[in-house]
Amino acid sequence: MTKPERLSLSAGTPAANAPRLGDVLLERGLITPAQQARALDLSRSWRVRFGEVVIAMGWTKSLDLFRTLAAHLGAPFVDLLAEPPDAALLHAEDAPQYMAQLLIPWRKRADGVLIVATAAPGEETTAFIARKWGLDVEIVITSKFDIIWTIQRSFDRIQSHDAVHSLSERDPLMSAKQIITPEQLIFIYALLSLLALGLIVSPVATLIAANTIMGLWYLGNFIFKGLLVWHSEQAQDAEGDQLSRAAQALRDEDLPVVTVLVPMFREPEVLPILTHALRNLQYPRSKLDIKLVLEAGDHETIQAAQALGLEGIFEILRVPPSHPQTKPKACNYAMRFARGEYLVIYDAEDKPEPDQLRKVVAAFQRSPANTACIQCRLNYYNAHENWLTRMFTLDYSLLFDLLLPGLERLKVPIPLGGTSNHFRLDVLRELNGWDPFNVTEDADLGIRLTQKGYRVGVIDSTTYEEANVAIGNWIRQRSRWIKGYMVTFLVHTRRPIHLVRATGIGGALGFTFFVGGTVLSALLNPLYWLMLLLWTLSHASGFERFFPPLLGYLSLFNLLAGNGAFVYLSMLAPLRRRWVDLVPYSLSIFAYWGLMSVAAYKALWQLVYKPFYWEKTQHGLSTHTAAELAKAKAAMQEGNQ
Amino acid sequence: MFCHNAWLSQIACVVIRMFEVRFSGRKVLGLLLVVSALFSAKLAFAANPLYTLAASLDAPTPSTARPAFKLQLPDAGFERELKIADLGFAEGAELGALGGTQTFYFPIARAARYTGATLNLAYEAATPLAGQRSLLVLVGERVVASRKLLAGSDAQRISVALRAEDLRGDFVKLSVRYSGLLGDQRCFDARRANDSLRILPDSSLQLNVAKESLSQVQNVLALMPSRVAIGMPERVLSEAESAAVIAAIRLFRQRGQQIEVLPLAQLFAKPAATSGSWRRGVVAVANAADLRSLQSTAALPATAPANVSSWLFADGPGLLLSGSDPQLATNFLAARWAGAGEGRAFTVVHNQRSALQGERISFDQLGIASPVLDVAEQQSWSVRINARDLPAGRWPVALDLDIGMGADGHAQPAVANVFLNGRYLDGRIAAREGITHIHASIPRGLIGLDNELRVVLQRQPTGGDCRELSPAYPAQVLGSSSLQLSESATPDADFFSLAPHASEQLTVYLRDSLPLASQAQALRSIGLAAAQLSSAAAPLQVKRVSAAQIDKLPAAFIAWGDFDFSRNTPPLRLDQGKVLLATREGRELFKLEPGQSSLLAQVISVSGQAAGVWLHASGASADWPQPEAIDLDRGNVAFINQGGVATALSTERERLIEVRYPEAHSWLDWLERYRAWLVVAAWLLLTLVVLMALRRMYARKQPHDQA
Repeated sequence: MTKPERLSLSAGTPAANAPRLGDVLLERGLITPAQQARALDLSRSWRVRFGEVVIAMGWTKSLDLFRTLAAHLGAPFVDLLAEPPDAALLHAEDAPQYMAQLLIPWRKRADGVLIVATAAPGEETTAFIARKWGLDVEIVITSKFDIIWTIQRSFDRIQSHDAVHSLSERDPLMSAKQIITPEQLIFIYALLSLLALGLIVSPVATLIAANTIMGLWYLGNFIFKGLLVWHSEQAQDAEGDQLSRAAQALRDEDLPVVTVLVPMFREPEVLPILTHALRNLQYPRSKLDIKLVLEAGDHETIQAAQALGLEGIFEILRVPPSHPQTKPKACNYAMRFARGEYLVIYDAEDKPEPDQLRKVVAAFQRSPANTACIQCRLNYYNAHENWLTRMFTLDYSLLFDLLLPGLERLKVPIPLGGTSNHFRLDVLRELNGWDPFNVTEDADLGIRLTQKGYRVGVIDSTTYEEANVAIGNWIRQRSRWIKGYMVTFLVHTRRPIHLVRATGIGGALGFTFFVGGTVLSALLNPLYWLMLLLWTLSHASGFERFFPPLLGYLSLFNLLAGNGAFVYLSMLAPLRRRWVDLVPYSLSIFAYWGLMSVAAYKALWQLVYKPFYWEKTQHGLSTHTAAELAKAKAAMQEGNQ
Repeated sequence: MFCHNAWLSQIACVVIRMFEVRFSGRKVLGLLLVVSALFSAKLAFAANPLYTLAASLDAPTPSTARPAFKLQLPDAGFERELKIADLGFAEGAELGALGGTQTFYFPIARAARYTGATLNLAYEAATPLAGQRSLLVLVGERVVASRKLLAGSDAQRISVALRAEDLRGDFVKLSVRYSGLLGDQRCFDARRANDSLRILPDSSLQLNVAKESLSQVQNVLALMPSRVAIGMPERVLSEAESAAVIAAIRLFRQRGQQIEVLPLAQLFAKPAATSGSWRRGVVAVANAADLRSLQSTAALPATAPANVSSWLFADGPGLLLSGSDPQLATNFLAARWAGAGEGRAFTVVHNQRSALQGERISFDQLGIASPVLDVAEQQSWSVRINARDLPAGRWPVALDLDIGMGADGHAQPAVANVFLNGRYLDGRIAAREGITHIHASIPRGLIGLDNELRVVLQRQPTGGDCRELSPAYPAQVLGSSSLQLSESATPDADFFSLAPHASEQLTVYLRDSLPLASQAQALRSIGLAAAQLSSAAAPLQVKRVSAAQIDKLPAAFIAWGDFDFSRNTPPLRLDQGKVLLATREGRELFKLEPGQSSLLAQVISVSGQAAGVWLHASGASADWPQPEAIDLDRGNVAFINQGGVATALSTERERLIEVRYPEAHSWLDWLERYRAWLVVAAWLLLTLVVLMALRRMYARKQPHDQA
């Protein structure tokens, strides 16, 4: 090991007569003159360091840059993998600071001088070191990845434990670690006992009462969804235009660092699509902190990611194995290494619109101070592939284009969509991140944010994904979502009074209809369809006993007007995007609801037997995805050339 | 137009063709009777039934096949007693409140000659107070008897010989006027007089009918006794003959007669004792061969579609129906123009009916005629509306009643109230001038098969006491009153809902495997059911089928036997073993077991609408119930015993009674039967699961709390 020389605390800045870093890199042949010029422009424009630009642009390798930087500063370069830090100097509670400042206490000399390794030498770092460890400190240079990997390796167990248990230990009532509480179980038991008693004493009256409640429930659900669409229609276009203008007006230098988490599991094939899409974002690359969050055991994807030779803004985070192996746990783990002001999650096959991050920053700036999350719209790039993708597109269009904006306007807790939700990182950490025991952690987090007094906004910017093309795959995915909705409903109704106080009566009702209604409708629909079918085909008598006239009319209204309204709403959503050819497919939505019910019963079964099991959705099955992949690879090759 | 030239040549052959046309803008259907033909006597002489009848009546020619006794009418003719019980007054008639008139119309044969007639009036009178009460008996407008009624209870019998002029027309009108007052109280509330005059049901008109009158079809038909035997040969009848038997049963049952079905031979059997009293009428369906086997002299026209002729049987005169489709003759006798057929016999070749149509049907169209009555204080009209008279495919939704009231100059207007089947519909202060119109909606489910519309007109004197006794004024429920019909108001699938369809055309299905021994009973039961549900003039079609399933069901049918209607989901499943009728609490009301002698009727529906009645008898045919009547009205299932319909219920509406199949093992029955146990078992299982889950939860929580 090379013995480091002691640096003064003013180190981190080169001597006044020293050549500039760009010149040194040019001199060493690590960049071209054109790259130097361009990097200078960008560093000025983005107001970032020169080195950050050349790494972000992929013009030089990270290790070369930091070695050059060390030489440039006259400081030793330390390879932390070869010369690991003294474990006694590392404290788990300081890990976020290490990550934020990109430094780590490395070793202590015999004379008591602390040696700190940093990948971000400069005045700010020097000031931080002085505040933290005093003045008797020496600084050595290392690479960013050395810092990250070292922290990861050093705090592996504790970070992993926190990723899983942080929420359940600190806020157990908000955690789905315990799916159902004893109080909830007793309440459900009492309800079922009451139903049993009714079925013994007066079965017809009991079934009529149950039927009436269900009928009113359906009616409420229809009315509520109608209200959401009505409100979402109000001045949506105008808001979208204003946001676009505000986003374009933002100066690059003012843009904050954004962490992009890409949790992946066994899907190496679609990785180029996302990297290509992220490169195309209209956002300063050096302000992107992109983390490919991979399971440590998923060697295939890790190797594929490494083989891509990605720029320095891409980091590969290996999530240590632990139970449950879910996406939220991986995100929680990755969140601990995030350095951005905001954090967003994208799926591997996502294609966000290029100006999405700008719009999000603009939206945060224009939103009330308690806005903690901005949800962007999701839709599909392979909508026209087959019937299922068309129906899925109609479904998503209705949800993200019409219903979620309505929820936002009515101040109803918003169950977030799977990706493209942008968080304030400080709030996310305050709330202990996602619930790793909930398989729709995003929906749960949306409700939790509202319960904690934060607001979720919805903006008009779309991320395009791959719609499921195979029914089996679709049912796996949908059953996970519905199971997650069930869990979310159970978690957030544990304290109904608290829910009402936190979200208001409208909010609580909206939550009940939106989350509970989706689940209950999917479960009940087959029963009513079966009854209708039996009654129609066999002319069987006896149903009249359970449908006295008023209830009969209510059921008929729900059947005709309610379902008719849903079909109509499904038609409206694609019209907004001018996808007129999709409109006729709304008429076949009944079959899609049938699939939903299959998924709902599968979800119910899993809720009892495998509540934390993550039904993996396989991506890359679409022919469109293959085309997108080819396009992305071609673009990469072009860039490399 | 019809012609008759029978008496001179002793041949009558009337070919009558009937058709109805509308002859007024007010949609009143009318009748045109046309076509008759006269044939030569000589040509038809040999085959002429009346010749045969005359021979058998007067001087039968000995033959090898003839019976060993001689059938002949007594020289003094026959005695025929018409009781008021046979006129529908089974319990007699009662008057009270110190006043009132009860009128009876005894049907007689216009063309008959009567050698004597006696009116026998039996009554019971009662009043607790001394008073001046009297009884006045009128035949036509002639007073034939008067009696002073005594205080206390009294029973008397008045017997009055009638004159020849009293027996003119189609009816003998008997009026019993009752009047009275109490002591010196000139004015009091007569409604509280607590008096009674009851005319007993065995009051009667006794007629002695001249011998020669009983050779006329119309006379025999009009004077037919209250018991009628339908005779049929002991062989498997053809479809047309079966239809004729059913039509005959239907006709005479609707006329109020008691029906029995007997083998033809029995009707020619020597009576136990010769009597001049005509106690049982006979209507026989037979062909020439049948008759020849019993009477060698019998001969019938071979080619006519339908013949009806008067015939002498062992019990007395009767009617013989014959031809290739003898039902036509029965339908003709039931029609309003039946009087057009005269003579000892006639032939019917064609019947044509026209169905009522439209959204409104007037009382005139329905043939409802209410009398003009004097109203002093209160008067009521009772009008019968039968579902058989309604057009198919529509059902009454409202009533438009026109009441005409004569002016009496009184300041106080009358009040009219309308009741349908005992339920108040509407009330109105009568118009001071002109006709009082009342429009009332008819609640769904109120109208059944036989419906009574009661109109009550009343006016209370304003002054009280007797100083201002209001003058009586004439009033009438007018024929322009109507029922408003609607297609959308079709009733539930009850028996009665079949009546409008069955009155246009009724199809009867018989299994061709029907044993000869059961034939008579089957036809009788079908005939009684048909009498309830279809008009006597409606055409009948009998079909003997080999298959248990009927492919295309007609608009109205009656099926007898082992048919398979499972495709139509009959209200009662007979293939499920024992059938139990029980209260919801499980108390057994009625039980039907395989092998048990029983008769069951149930509605078979097509697309939710009643299409037919399935009569199903089980057990030994000798033990099958043989009720006097099968009154199918409300409900879709009827259990029939010897007394008639024992229980009728609608399995669709009934809430207190349920049908169970104790031997059936469908999961629904099983579920219903063991519902309580299943629920309790499920609840116990749930409790167990909940307890285990709670135990696990707390077991997990304890170490956590300790930590």
